[in-house]
Amino acid sequence: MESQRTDIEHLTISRRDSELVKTTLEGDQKSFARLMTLYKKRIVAIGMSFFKNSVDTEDFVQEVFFKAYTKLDTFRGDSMFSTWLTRLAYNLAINSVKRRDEYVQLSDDEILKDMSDTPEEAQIRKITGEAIREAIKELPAQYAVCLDMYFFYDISYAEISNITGLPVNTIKSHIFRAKKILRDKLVERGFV
Amino acid sequence: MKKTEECNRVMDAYLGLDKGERVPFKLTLHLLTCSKCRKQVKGLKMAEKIAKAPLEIPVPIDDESILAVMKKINPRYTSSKNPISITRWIIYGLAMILSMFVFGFSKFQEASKGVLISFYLLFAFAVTVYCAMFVGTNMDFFVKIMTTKKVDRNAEKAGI
Repeated sequence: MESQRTDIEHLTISRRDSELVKTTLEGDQKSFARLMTLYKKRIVAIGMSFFKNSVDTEDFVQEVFFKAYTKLDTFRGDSMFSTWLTRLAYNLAINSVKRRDEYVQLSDDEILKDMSDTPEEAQIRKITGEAIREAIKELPAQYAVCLDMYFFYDISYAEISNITGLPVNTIKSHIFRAKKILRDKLVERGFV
Repeated sequence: MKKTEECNRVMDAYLGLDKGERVPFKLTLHLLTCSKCRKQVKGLKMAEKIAKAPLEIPVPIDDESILAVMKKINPRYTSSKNPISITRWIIYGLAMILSMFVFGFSKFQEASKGVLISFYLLFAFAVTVYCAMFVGTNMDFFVKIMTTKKVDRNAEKAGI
């Protein structure tokens, strides 16, 4: 049942983004500004994980969007616009000279604090972060970003593999383990 | 014991599912009959939904870095943020209607039929123009409402 809802949501988002890309390519720059409002938070989150400071992150965000605008005609629509943009941002981040060696897990970041959270939601968000951090402890460093992408960026296994170039089955098994830890923590704390 | 083994098998299969992947019929059947697994699935879904929510909130159109990028693309770009809020539109609209009613009723006794008809035609025209301007300048707001309602209706139809 939930998957059907996700399908509908993804379809709606995909259509909206394709329309905005189309009108941007037709010369409507405001459509591109709208796309930026929708995905700025995501790009900031990627920047903070790789650069760990707001000045470099701000430069990174502007670089990503400017590059996205100049390369928009290469977006063929065979993946979602969000995946295309995330891949562009990820590649720019890992190839940047300003990039720090260690990727910082998003589960710690201020950007994930939502002012509309109820106490229960805040607690569940905290547990999710704990589960991801615990799962990551035993993983090779490059897989940290995969867990962030799945849980926080709402990206599927195949799309994560497409963005990072890592094997889909390995990604799947690491996310499976994180989900198991999350489930156990939710049971342990009495949320289920 | 058998039930626990079945629960473990079902939960492992569930945890292996990707985003948007359809839950297989066998799993759905088990979830219908096992409240323990159903609660776990509900908890996991809620956790995933809460985790992704903050990054899905759009930033305002006049955000500094958005304006900076747009200026790089087009130096003459200006943000088209609507300077009048919806609440103000409604308050001014109601004030306009109220003042027209008060004026109409105060002149009701003394004015001739022709004047009154002209007044009410003008009144109707002004309200129509005001409503058209309200909808036109807040198109984004109405499109967003319609899209949300459509998604909810589709979800309801699908029995979600």
